[in-house]
Amino acid sequence: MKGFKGNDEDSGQGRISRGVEVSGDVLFADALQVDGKVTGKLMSESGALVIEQTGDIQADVDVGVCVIRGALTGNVNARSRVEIYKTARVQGDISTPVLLVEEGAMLSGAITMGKAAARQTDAIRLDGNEELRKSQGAS
Amino acid sequence: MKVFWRQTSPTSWLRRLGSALNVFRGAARRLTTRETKSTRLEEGSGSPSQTQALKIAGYSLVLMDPDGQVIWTREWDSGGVFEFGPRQRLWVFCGFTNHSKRETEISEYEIELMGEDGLVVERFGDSFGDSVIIPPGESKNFPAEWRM
Repeated sequence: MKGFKGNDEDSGQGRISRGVEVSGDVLFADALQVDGKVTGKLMSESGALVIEQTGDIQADVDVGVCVIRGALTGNVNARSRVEIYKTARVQGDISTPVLLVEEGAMLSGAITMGKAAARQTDAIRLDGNEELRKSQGAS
Repeated sequence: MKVFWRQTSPTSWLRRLGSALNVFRGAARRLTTRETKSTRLEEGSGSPSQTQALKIAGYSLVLMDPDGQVIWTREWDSGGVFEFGPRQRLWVFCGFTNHSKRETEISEYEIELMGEDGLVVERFGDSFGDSVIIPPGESKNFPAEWRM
């Protein structure tokens, strides 16, 4: 498919080019750049979705990282972070542990804390509370 | 979200004193953080608008008890390095669930932003007048908002 291509066979990066419209569920691994239009659902376990200025997404998004410079109508669930830049127009609820918003961005929706992916657990208890030290703690 | 606050006993003047100290400790910590930012601005190109963006690779939550001791800390990956610069706002939401069998008493918390090298590039937090008690099995979210 001409408008939906990988930049490199092994990179795992895909792109939906400007002028291309995709309808349905889109599942990707590492990264997906959207310059076109997507309706349906976008999913990735830990991958990064980049919606460029010409990108228009009318779908729920469930990814690791979501970078928005274009239009998005739908709910976003990001396990790592969401970045919304000044050219973005977002309408929908956002669930993420880290949210970056640039001045000028349009955002309409609720923001809730997402479930963060832990890198490592460094729980310590200095006064000898072993139970707490051993706990996995955060979620 | 359930938040449990321990009521200060009228006779427990020691706890009142401890709470007051927590407030002062938090204020001092915030003052220190501001000094750090000021120093960076002076060392940089000058105006805040020209401040270089920070590269952030992760963040961590540090919880402290009424004695100021670190009782719990955890680090998260931000999903790759991203830049945080002027004219941007950053919200970080950290959560703690008490999986132990005891109550956890928290009087202060800090959220640390870490760079690619794992070093802390910025920290911010808050302190509670009265400690927050988190019973076993309960959770609490610790949010923070930051802008350059």
